[in-house]
Amino acid sequence: MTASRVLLAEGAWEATPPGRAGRFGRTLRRMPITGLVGGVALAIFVLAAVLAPVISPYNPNEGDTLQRLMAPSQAHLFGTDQVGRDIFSRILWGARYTLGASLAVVVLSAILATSVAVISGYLGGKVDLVIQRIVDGWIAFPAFVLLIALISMLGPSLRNVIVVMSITMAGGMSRILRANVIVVKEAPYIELARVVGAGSVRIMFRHILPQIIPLVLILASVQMGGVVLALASLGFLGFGVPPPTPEWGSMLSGRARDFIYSAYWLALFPGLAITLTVLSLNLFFDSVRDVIDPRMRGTGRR
Amino acid sequence: MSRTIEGTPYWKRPWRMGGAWRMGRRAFVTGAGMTAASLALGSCGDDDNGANKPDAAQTAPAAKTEPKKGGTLTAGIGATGLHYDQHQLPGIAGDGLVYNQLLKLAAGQKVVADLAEKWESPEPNVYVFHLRPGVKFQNVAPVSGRPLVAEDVVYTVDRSRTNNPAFSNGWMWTSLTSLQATDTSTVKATFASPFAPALFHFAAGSMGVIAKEVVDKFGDLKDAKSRIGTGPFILKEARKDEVVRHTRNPDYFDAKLPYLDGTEGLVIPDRLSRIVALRTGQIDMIGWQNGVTDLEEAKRGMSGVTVETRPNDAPTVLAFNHTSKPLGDERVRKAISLAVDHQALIRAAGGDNAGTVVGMVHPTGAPFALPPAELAELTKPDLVEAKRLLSEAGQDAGFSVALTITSTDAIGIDVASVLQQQLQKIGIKVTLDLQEFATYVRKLTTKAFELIWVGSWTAALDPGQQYHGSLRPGAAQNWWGANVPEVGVLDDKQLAEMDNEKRAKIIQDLERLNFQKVVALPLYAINGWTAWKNYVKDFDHLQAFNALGWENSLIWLDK
Repeated sequence: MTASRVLLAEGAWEATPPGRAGRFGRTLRRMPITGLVGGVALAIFVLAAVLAPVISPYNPNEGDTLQRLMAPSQAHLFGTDQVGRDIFSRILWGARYTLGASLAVVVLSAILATSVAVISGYLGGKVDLVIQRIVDGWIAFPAFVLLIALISMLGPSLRNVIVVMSITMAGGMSRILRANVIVVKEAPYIELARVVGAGSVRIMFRHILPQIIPLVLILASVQMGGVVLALASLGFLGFGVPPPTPEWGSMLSGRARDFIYSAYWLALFPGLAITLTVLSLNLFFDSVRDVIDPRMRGTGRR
Repeated sequence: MSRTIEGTPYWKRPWRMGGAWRMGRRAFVTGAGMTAASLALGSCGDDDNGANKPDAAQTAPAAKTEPKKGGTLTAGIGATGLHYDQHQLPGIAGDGLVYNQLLKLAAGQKVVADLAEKWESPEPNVYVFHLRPGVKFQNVAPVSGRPLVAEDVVYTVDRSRTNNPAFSNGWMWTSLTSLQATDTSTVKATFASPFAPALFHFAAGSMGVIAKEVVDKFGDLKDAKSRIGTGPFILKEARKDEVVRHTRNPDYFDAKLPYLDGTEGLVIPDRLSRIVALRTGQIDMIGWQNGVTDLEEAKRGMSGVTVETRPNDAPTVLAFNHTSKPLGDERVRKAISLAVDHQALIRAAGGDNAGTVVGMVHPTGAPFALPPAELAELTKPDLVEAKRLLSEAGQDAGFSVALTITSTDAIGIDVASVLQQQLQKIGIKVTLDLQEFATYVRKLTTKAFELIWVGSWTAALDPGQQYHGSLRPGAAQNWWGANVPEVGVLDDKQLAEMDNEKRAKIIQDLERLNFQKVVALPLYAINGWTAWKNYVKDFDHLQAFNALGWENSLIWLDK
């Protein structure tokens, strides 16, 4: 055992987990049924997203205007939209954009939040003061307003949406992570590392970062449901990926509402897709969080 | 299309007024990109609302009801305009509530008197207009109710042709050599040669007569407070994208008018919300709505509401930047036109009856428009020929191009996505470049586009306007850089031809030339609908779009 393991503070993470497969199995066994249901549903969505090019019966962007507004049938499981495109195919392909973009957002926001938190929390002093005042403003600004304003300036594209959402979501996460960094940096092994001559950068990367990674994973995963909803909301408001990209939120907006009474399937299936995806994400990751860190129960919510 | 009295229900029949027959229904239109206060009147349309079907048992005409004075008419509108300067807005923009013009457009593209009580043409290239007496500007500073004089008309026209790219209506006056006030109530216009569209241009909605002192005070007319004219209503309040309010002008030259105390344009950006607002009585009417996809929704659950459809006067056009490669190549443009299935685009816009295949001259502009059979032939897709032309132009491998379109044009975006598929078949990859309206206009007027979607090309004042104003080389609104000399030659001929029949033939030749050279590609004219509460009387939805609501003064509320 190393000095760092001997001097672990109470409640800190174990430095040597028992093995990834073992931990995963233990997590699954301890997960409530709702989490398992959510996990299975999520797995189905992810599989559908990955296999969309193979299982999609039609090109999601091509339609036959002679087949427009057809009700669900054997030929078109979820019916066709106002320009004759197959809605089932668009839902499958939409899963790629939605889940892929959400993953990109949580990864980027986690990287940004972690960087800010580690630098600010470890260095402390004036650096921490300045950074945290910026974070104060960052958090105080209504996230959705900021999102819309920035996307209006930069233009609606998948890349811009991912970048802008990552930036707006990182603020709150960085504040939680910073608190953890402050606790970790007081650990005796950090002091030991300084004594033996380790520089700040080495300490931040080699000793502090590994300690907060599990928390980062939990926070990021819990946020994913919210990111999916935010992406759909942006698409609904016309600030998401430009058409004819099959994005669930934009499928719900505008034209679907024109046909809400005469062709309910235009709104029903994208709406269900969003609801079930967000629900399954929330159920699964909430359960994972509860199992891994019971202290986090009730925290980190959107 | 014209209406006849026979078969018209008694409550819609015209009545005799001042010795002249008036149409029984009036129209109210709010135009996108124009001031929210501009309301337009429509034209004949089929009555496809079951609630409005004529009752065969009704044979006796109803007793004439005297219009009641009072009340405020509230209309739901999509947005307020970019600003209020009628001379600096693209297309024909104006305000029939606040302004009068020298002449005005009535239903059927008929030019009738407005500020000019009468006029004559002593020579084919000269017009003399006699202003009606007793007309005053509204009692708002700086004009403060002073009398209108002929010099105001001269100033208005001169300002509209300011030599500045921002002033978009100068093209109407390129052959006007002199406009003078021969006395305080007479205006003499001399053109370089006989000019067939002359009277239409004086009737343009953007020729609302203004006073110089207003421009001197405000610098331009972009501020809502500068919207001061001689019209039946005074602009009382204008909050961008919220509301526009007018009150009646007590000094209007026709003392009987307007009947209304005021009008209110309530901005409700979402169409479904506008329908709900009408259903719940929050508003009294919805002006012309582009597209018929929500027509059934507009009729659903509406009691005491009339819903009428009519086609847009203005075609939806795919315009090319002729200065960009490879769109500057006529063969490439022709290939694109041959890849387009117009009927599929119409279906995408809302079904088989969502619109009509048209040329640049709308079918209601008969006899100037091409016959439908010839139009069908000219717009038939031919993918084989399209690919051959692309190959000849050195574009075998295809190319990528951006199509700029306003982000708020939901129907246009859907149709454009179908166009993407159609052009994909000949190897042209189209990316949609969605822009909010102000940016779209900037891109349009600065040629910062490759392909651009003109969802509602300017409704023609006069049959040859599209060519004279926008498509001939050097035209003031030739934002696409089109340079097809033959268009200029034919346009000169039609402008000088005062005989309507001969002029019609020349304009038809222009249409054929356009389909051959594809200066711009008209896709279709979309149908739309208007809805109003039955207590809104004498609302004529048939007036030409360019009339911009001058007949609002005739509307009254029977409640």
